[in-house]
Amino acid sequence: MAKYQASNFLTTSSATAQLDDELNMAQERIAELEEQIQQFTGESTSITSVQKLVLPISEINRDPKQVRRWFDPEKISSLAQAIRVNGFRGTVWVRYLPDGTPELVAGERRIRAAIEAGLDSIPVDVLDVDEDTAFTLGLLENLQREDLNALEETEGILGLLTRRLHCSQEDVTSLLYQMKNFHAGKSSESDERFSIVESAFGSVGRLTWLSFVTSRLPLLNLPEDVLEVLRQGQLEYTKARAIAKVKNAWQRESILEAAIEENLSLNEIRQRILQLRIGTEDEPEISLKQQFVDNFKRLQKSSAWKDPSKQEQLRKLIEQIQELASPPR
Amino acid sequence: MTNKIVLWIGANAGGVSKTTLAIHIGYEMARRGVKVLALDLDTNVSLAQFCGLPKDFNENNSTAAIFSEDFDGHYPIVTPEWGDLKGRFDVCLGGTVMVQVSLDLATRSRREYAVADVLTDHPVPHELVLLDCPASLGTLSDVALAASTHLLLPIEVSSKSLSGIDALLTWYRVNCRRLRLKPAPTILGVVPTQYNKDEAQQRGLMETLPDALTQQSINCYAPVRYTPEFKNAAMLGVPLQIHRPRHRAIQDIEPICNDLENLIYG
Repeated sequence: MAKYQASNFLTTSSATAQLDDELNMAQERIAELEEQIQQFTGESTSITSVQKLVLPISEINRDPKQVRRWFDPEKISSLAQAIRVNGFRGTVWVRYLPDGTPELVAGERRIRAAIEAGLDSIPVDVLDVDEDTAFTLGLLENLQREDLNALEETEGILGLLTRRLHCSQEDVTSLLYQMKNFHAGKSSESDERFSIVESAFGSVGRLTWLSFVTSRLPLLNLPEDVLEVLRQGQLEYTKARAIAKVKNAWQRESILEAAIEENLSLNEIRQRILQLRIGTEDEPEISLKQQFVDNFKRLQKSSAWKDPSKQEQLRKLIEQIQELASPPR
Repeated sequence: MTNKIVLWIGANAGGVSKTTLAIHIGYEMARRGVKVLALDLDTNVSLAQFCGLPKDFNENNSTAAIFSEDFDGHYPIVTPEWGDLKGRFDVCLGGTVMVQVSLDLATRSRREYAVADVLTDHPVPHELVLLDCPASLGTLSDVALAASTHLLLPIEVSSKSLSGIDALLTWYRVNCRRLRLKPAPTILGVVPTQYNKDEAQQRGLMETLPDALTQQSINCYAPVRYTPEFKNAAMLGVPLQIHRPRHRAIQDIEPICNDLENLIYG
């Protein structure tokens, strides 16, 4: 490492530059979102900001339905550093619940950074939107981001579709499969909602409905314990996916726990999974009974019965089997 | 069709060759056929000195005139003896009268836009306007920022000057927003000046500077070397191109001039 580092002298402006980018992106997003939400709902809902306020962070109800739960701690820290240098610039969006509590619509990541930077309160834009629009807005806002993991994205898109089609998640899933069959020519059952689905994917603009059905919906079949950890944002998607490959439930559980508590890297996780495989390779997961039956057959054909040196061993084995086979006293 | 460029050569530390760059870039551009106007907002008289012009000006024959509320569009333009080239190199000189100008600005409406408004209301025929202003982040810097389309930031490769540029870049970003500049002036680049490759500290910092700036999406020009001939030329009131036409330091500003030429002729 060079002795003289120019970057050491440019930390403040770097942090400001980063915040600037954040702010630019946020502003562009507002404009885009307005357009998208109109496309999406087909109604001309303009997102009006009715008030600009400074609110204590502790008063803001941060929606537990938030799609995005994994936030890279390093990115939060560098954003927090920018906030320490320049203060919190821009706003997060909230709306008022009927009981008067402000609820966060978008800006979870920046709130976390503000908390880390030691702020008690932040500037907010109060949006005059109903629950449905707020939810759609929050989802759209998140779906536009590049760093949403695949599960978050999948559940987010499903959330959007259930809102748009006014039906349950199961109905949406089966509609999507029906669409896929129709598309593949396996079914002639068409549905007028197909076009709504297509236009919804068009306005999200991340991926096509078809690749969503083929590559994303199967994610929901990951083991429940893995899904849960992902939903709670305790682990990155790539790590969770690696762990999901472990078939044995308790082994998977123990790696999941270790990965979270010891903050294992992806490589370390792979290493541990490999160790598990090596450890169990010679004894595949076959029930004891099956093992007995298999070995019993082999023993019947074995030359051991004729081998004098094995007679004593066989006698002992038969005794043990008799003992195990007799009903408990 | 040419584009009009207003280039602010800005710094937050004195003695980093702001005026030297203005003179030499201006001369080279004029030599290439561009009409150049150096608008001096500085309170010192170095531009007059470097141009070999007399230093006795008042509020009527200096840049102070364009700050007058009843400015009629007659820019107080003077031309150095060597300023008549394929293009031309004109100046509006500043000096101590600018101290009063900056004080008077405090009570003026749209003060930050004083020069921007004048250039809009009374366009100059020049394709390239160079702004030279005091090395501080005061009102005159706001004025220069609001008037410029591009920024060129000379720095000395030293810890002091780098800390200065850090503050300047921070100030730039904050003020582009505060002044609602749309579009905000583009940073053409940072130019290391008075570069002496024999100094270990300068060499070390120079190695890491381009990367550090790239992280902020800022271009870093190759350094302009140190030579006492810049001072000697200034003493004589002529650019180095006239004083020592074959001096290698002249080549160091060429990349900047090439970029400006591209901007002007699109």
